[in-house]
Amino acid sequence: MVKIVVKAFATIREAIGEFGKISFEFPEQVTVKNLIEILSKRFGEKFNLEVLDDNGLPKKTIKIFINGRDIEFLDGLHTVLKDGDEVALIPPIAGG
Amino acid sequence: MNVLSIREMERYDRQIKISELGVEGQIKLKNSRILVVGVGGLGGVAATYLAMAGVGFIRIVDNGILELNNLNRQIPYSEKDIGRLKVEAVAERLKSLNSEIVIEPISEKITSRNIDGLLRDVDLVVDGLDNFETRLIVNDKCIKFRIPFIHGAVYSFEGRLMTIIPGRSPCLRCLIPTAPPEHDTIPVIGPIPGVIGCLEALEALKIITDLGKPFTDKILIFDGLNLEFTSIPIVRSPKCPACSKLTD
Repeated sequence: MVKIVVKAFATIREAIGEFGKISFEFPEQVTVKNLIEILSKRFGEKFNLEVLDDNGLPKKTIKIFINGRDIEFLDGLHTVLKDGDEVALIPPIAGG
Repeated sequence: MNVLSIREMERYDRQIKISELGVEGQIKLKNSRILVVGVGGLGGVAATYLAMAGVGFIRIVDNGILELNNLNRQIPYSEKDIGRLKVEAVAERLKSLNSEIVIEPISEKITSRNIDGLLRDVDLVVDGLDNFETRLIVNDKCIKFRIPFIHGAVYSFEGRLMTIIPGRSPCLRCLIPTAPPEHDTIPVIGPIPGVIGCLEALEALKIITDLGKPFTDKILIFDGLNLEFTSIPIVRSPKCPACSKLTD
């Protein structure tokens, strides 16, 4: 089993609810892209509006980190998640 | 000015007693010049602490007029200030807290045309803005003129903080290359800009006095709902149009 914790911030937290923290258990390996697809199916329109661009991929303005490391410096959306990983979804915020 | 008056020695007694700061640090604060861009929830808190700490010159820029819906979070103001220019009301408040410093209120919208003048002769900039378009204008010019920029932002129960030392650490554009679509009104609960505004002031005071370690190369996320502070490393983008060509 692969246990993953997703931590969502700001507007993505609001789309997910649960104070922004949610755990998953997968019977097999998943990538970041798989995880986003699963979240998209589970949380629907509100999540998609905040996270996905017109091509169904995460918006460029959203930062995705695995255990504090930007996926840009791993294998991007193809990064394979390991048991115990914490995935953070961080949209920009602008309030002052 | 290389000395403190008797009154200044008394006013700043509790911070002068901090061994690392002392009279020397207080004189650095007295001789420092800080620009606070935006005096809402973040900038109002940060400017208040900077004034109380004895920063000798504070330029505050904001073109807003105080509204009733600002009063859940913007602490320098009172109900009697509704309808007034924010910078005028803040300047009055800061002068009443500390008459020994200079406050320069400027009621202007920050644009790429006036930013050079607003940055003139300042040592550091504190972010109290409410949109990315203006933040990126300020970021780019701070990089160009090598002025440290303390970035803060808030949303709902969440706050962010990042200190930018041009040429040495990632800038805001490394993180957000172009301004994302803006929200019309941004929900926020008062203590969040309180926390982040305080941390921005603290970063500014540390940099001016050359004490401690600036919060660079990472972004702080303050999750008020779970009361967690998360620090995420950020690296300089080799493609950053603002800072990639700048060296230390």
